[in-house]
Amino acid sequence: MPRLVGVVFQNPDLQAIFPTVEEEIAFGLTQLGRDRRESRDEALEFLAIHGCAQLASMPIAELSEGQKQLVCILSVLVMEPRLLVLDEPLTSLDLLATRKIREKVLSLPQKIVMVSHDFSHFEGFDRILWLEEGRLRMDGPPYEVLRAFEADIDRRSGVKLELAAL
Amino acid sequence: MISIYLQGDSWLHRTPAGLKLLAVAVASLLLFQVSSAFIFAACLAAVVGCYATLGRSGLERLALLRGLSVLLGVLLLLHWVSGTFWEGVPVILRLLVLILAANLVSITTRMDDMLEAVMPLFKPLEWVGLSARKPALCVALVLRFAPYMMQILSRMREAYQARTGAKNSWKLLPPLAIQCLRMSDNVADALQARGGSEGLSGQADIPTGPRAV
Amino acid sequence: MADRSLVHIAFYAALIAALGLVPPVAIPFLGGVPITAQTLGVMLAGIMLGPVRGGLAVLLFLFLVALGAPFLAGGRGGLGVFASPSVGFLIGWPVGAFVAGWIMRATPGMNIFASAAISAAVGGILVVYLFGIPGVAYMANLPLGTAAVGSAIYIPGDLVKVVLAALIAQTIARGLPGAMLSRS
Repeated sequence: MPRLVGVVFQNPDLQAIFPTVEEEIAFGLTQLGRDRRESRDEALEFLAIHGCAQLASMPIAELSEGQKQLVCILSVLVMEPRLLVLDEPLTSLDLLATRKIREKVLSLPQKIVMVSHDFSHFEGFDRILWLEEGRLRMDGPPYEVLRAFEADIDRRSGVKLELAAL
Repeated sequence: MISIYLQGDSWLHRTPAGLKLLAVAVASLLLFQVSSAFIFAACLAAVVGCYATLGRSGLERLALLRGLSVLLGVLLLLHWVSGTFWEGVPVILRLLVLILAANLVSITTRMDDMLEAVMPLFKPLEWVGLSARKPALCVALVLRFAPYMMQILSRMREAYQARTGAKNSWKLLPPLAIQCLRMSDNVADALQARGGSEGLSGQADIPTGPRAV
Repeated sequence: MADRSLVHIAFYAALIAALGLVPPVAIPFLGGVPITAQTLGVMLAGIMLGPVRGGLAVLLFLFLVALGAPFLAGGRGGLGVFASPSVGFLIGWPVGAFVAGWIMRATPGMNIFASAAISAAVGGILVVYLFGIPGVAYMANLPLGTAAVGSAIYIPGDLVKVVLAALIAQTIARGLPGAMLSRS
């Protein structure tokens, strides 16, 4: 599974398992069977390609939340998955980090599936699947789903207000 | 990087870790066969001399003795009380030699190299069906998360102090321990998502290496 | 070994390391011999994680100290620590954690406080001193009796720790019963 699908989780603090950035990236490569030396070299190249060469020897504990999440994404990407699943990746990030991560994610060649409860995160995506209580409620282009979703919220909060008035 | 390693380029730094470990092991064995205070005193001088070759920062590390002095003093006292003071002196000297020598190896050897030197000891694990990779992975995990746990504990103590005025309490441990387990579940998921501790190709390597000091 | 257990072990070792940073608390009425949070963490390892994982967590912790990590209370670390006369106590830690976990597992019917107290007392004190005292005797060339008497000043503090360990275990079991891996 991991070879085809890469998963990035919500909390950037609780995904990396190595002390420094380069080791964390290299781990994905050693997992695939490369030896230690190759992996380290490739990891450094990979970081350079993504404009993060300066992060290589930094301890992950010292990075900002946004940088950490970027490292998490890269450490999964280095394994060249065909599908990237991101589970609420922007939840703990500030606005600047959110923008940067979104930019990164949207620029990737992989097919991306992102889970979020915040609609603003979905700008730029092709298709939204609205899940409710374990069921697929709607599947369509962002604008349509957003309209339906907002209408639903209006309806629900509208009912609550009426009850309160009584 | 958290380590007692002393940055430097001395002859000791350049000696391979395995060799240093062997030397200390052999020295320990030999020293336990001897009981002469003179030999121990000479060895002590030699070891202190080695610290000196590391420069001023090396000699500063001898401050380690300060913490030990109370303990060693108590032991000498116990000898005196038992009437074996003069037998106690060489014993204390020997302890000093061994502690300083062992410490010398540690301060001139990077953790990375130390780990690599002892990895062969984990080979037998493979005979009983366990992976030799896992200890290396565990070392990385602890080094990654020890600072994180320290931060969390620190914040909890601050919050507790703000609420109760007291700096410490056993009451901090239950939530810390529970959080610890919850967090480790998250990390285990992330590890699993990248192939787990076994890797995706059978006998995989581990990119260990707390290189940056 | 399942990855989940592996990570639990590593995290608990990290916890023990973090506890090394908490300054020792001196108990005034016991002559001021300070008790450290770290040894409390070691006592709890077996109680929380069970015998094997608890023992391995403490062993992993010691392995890191041996490699050069300054995780021992007071910022100590490296091989020098293992050449000290108190090395026996360090060796006793993982064994004690194992025994403590074993007792927790062997007493499923008993109330958690009692079970944890016994585990902490036997594993955390009895076993540890069983290794510690002969260690001092050997390294310092003292008769066992003298070494025992010398180490005895720490016992009152350790007894306080036993009570704390039991309280902590009870609190955890109440808050999150699934967290007591020794009992699941």
